[in-house]
Amino acid sequence: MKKFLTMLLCMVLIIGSLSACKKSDDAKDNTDDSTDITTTEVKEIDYSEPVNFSYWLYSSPNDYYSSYNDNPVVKYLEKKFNMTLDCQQPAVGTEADSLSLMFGTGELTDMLDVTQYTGSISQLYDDGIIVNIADYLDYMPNFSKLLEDENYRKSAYSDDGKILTLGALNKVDGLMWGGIVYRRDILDTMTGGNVVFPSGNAEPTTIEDWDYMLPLMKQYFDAAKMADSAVLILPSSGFFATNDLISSFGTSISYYNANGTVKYGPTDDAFYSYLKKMNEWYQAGYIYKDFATRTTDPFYLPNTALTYGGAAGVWFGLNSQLGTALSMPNYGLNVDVRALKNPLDTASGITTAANSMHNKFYESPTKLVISKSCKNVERLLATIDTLYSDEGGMLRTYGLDKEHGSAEDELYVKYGLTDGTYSIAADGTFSYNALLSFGGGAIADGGAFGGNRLPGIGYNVYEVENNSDVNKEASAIWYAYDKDSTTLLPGSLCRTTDEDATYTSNQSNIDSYVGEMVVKYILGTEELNDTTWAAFKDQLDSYGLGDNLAIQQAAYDRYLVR
Amino acid sequence: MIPIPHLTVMEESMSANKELNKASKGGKSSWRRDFKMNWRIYLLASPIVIYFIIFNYLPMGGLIMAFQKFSPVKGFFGSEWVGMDNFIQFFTAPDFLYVLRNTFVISLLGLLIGFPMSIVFALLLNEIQRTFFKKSVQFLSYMPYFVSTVVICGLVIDFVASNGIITNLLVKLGMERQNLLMNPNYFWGLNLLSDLWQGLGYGSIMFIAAISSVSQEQYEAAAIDGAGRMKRAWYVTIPGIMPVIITMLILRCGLIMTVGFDKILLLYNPSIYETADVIATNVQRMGLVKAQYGYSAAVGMFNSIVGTILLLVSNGISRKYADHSVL
Amino acid sequence: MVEKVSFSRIVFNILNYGFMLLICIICVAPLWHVMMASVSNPRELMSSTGLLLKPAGEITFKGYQLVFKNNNILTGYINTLFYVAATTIIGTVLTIIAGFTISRENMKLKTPITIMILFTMIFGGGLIPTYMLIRSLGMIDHSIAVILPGVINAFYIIMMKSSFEQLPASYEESAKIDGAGPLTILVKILVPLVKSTIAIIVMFTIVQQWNSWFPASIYLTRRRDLWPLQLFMREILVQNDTGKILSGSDALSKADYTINLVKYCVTIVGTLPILCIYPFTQKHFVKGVTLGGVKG
Repeated sequence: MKKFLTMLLCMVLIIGSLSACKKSDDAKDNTDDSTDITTTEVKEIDYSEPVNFSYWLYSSPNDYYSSYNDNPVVKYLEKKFNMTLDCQQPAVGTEADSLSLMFGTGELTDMLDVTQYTGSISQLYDDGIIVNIADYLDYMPNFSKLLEDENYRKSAYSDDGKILTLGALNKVDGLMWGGIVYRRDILDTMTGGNVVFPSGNAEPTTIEDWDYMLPLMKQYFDAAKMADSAVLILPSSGFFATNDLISSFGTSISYYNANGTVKYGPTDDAFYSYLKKMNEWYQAGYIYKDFATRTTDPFYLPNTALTYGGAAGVWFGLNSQLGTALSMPNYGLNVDVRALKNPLDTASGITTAANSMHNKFYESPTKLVISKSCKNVERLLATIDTLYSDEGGMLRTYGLDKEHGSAEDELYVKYGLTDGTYSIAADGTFSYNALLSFGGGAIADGGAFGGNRLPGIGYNVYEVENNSDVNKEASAIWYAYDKDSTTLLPGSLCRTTDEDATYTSNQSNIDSYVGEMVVKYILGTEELNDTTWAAFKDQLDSYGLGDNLAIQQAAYDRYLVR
Repeated sequence: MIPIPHLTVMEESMSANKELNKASKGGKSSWRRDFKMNWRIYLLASPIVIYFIIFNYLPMGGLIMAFQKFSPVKGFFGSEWVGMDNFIQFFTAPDFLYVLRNTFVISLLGLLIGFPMSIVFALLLNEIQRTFFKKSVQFLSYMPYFVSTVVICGLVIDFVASNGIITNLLVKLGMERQNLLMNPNYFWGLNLLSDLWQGLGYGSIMFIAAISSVSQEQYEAAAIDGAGRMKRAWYVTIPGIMPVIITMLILRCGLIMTVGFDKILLLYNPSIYETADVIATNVQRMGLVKAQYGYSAAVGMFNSIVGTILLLVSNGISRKYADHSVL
Repeated sequence: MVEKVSFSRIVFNILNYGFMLLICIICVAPLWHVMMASVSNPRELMSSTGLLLKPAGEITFKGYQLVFKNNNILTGYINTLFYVAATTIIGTVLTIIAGFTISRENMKLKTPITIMILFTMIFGGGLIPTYMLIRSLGMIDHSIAVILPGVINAFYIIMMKSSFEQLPASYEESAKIDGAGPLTILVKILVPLVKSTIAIIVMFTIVQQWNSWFPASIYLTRRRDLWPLQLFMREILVQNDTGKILSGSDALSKADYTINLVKYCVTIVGTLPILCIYPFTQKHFVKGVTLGGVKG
């Protein structure tokens, strides 16, 4: 029984999504600290006494050291700030348990990574477990400076003016790590190199183009007589979680912003069109026939047998699969994988279709909190603040250079990186150490020599600049529509405690029902027509969709006036 | 470690024994007499009892979370009491009924088919005369138990995909080509079969051992009476291992609400929720447990209570009709 | 003993042997698959589907090299052996004593104690209260936290009890008349009679402890040097799945797919030793009872 419960808890915590922050109902200190940041005097910290801080973080084992205490950047900071940072890392896969135990038993480290915490973070504040970082901005000049950015200020503060989490921010918008890709070589083979898309473009850009492309691919695979093949691999949910192909029809997989009004995608007529089209493609054999049972199996990488075996036409691919990376010339497998623009349902007048992948520089993928058990919050935050400077950002992102003691660090010495992980020439040209894989060397996991598990800024300017042309090109295609359409609701939307209770309990029913029906509609096991569609929407209403829309709308309105 | 008191107290033991006989004859017994007669047993039992009190009963205080909106900071005594709210939330969930049904069906299939299969397997194995072959079968049959569930499920998904080995076989037998895990009608059967695959050999170990304990004399006596091997299996072996079977059966009844949760999670998909979704997977998927300690405690408590009732009922039935019980 | 072999018997035997053979093949398949995968060419392994009957591509031991390069595996083996030995000895002794005490007739508290033990099989306090208990006992970050909680299992105690209850009373009676105390009776007379049950419990305990990783992950978070093998293995298995693939930065971006083999190799490394203990336990089943009639 105990095992069962813990297993349950464990699974839930791992899989559950991060809940948004909540505005506490008893907003006592409803002051907006952001107004006078720049005018405040920076307070000094006395670093003369040695101090000990503890940090709980998700482990990411690498080949170079087993504990984050041995991370060169951590060691560098320890020396510089006369402190010890005791890094505690639970075993991979048990983080959620470890975290809920910490919160459940009150035995907390000074700083915690709560990126995957599924409970409410503002509840932690209300319960008196974590501190409001906004109270300590006087000690954080670099961080305060970042808050001058309108976008970042809005996402950092909650509705009632608190800052509860620290994040890892990027200096510039990052490149995409993946998106929809297609096998260009198949089209070339089938048309003798003269692909003519209905849209007239050189690449498939509309649903009509796809209607032309998918049958060609099917003919190719049918002729190749492969044991198993798939023209289009849909994820097991029946849609791309990134909104690709759904935004093509002008809707979204969940709540979205339509010119200031919050709408729920799956009840749109456009969603009906999406399902109709997918059902049509499934019946025609274009969509991978076993899609619903695959891609969730973690032991086999999702559908590698198809993608790596040269038996897939269109799928959600990674940067690393672009070009001829998947070819196996020994076996006569020569592929040309290219990034694919989100197609547009031009027939319905859709002209733009953004996905939700684009990493905005001000949105932090990680979230850290400072616990009330920390004895010297000022000093800890002042120390961390250095990582929000450009110099600290370089340290965090790339690691030590000569100036920062790369020659003295044991790990750097051991791997021959005494010249540092990077260097900047007199003319300002940035270059990676040739021993790192980015510089063409053998050390694959260069990140291990930097400090990216710490909060701070990701000075990713050089990283983006020095990326391969293939990746840059693909990124441009993948977020081609991103600049024009802003249908996404901001990640830092805040619901009040009451709102959140209603929202969460409604939404779990809604999500589960939508998840089930989408797959069934696509498979055709549940008929999709006007009557069933109306019944589907009625069922969602009975699960409280109306209430949730109102809650989301209210939260969004509050966000706008932040 | 444990004191050995028997050497010095021989005499007492003898007299105590007599006293007890007297007491039971007279239909009267007293705690004092019981203790006097059994004190060494109680002494032996005390570390066990203390162990269970410390490691199992103390933490059970945490079950009060089921009636609370548990907040870690406020603790067990400071958290807000919500009465039966956590339970009501669970019972009124839209999927509660079919999820409960699936949990029962999947468990019962294991109990009514999987469990007897391991007994039959043990009996059939007992009929194998060649020791080497017998031992090899035993050894090999329990291997899948040690292969991680993830691997097993990955293979199952492969085998029943629309062009998997098993599907191909069934298509030859006249079934329409389809992915078996995308048809709700097949899930219970598939789950049972994969359970058997993974657990048949391991589950039969207990019965194999029990069969080996059945007295050789009885077989010989039966053989002299002219009983064939079938009859000997029926009249000697099965009655011989009956106590083990019944004990296992009763214990399994108590665990009926605990189904192989991680396996179902790996095998199921939205198109077959209606037959594959069980309590544990549903609670997990609905995300309701999001750090809601009270809710998960309530679900756990419900499962435990149902388990206890089933255990007591099956124990009672068994005591009445099979003259054997675990209590 | 000479037996007349009937025709139906022959048919039965053929079917029975055939059936057993089939079971063997089906049961060996998954482990065989993992074994073949662990020495496959990693790139070809990724593009293969279904059951592997032979390694995909040319045989390579690169995966094993990677696994054994990892110092943790040795640490894990040593720790696991220690935990298995400790749990098995303590657990078995306590289980025998517990099973013995609740199998005594004429004892007023027999049923209450049985119920109390049985109850723990179904009810549990949950993760947080248990953790708080272990913490207040000062066991956090000590290996005893992995050994002691859960060292006795209600299920095995009931098995033991039922095994004792099947023994005819006559053995004990004579000993009692000789004036032997309960512990003497237990050790000298009863234990040898229930050897096969003990063998099973020993084996189940070993297997269970071998596969256990959860308590260590909770109670020994800060002590990697005390982690059992399975926890290290789990880390390797989980690690390569989610994070790195999602970030697209690592495993897959390299032309070297060897990392993909590691999980198969780790499964083999962590499974083979425990598979081998079965033949040792097995021989005790056959000798279970040598003293003749069991059923009274």
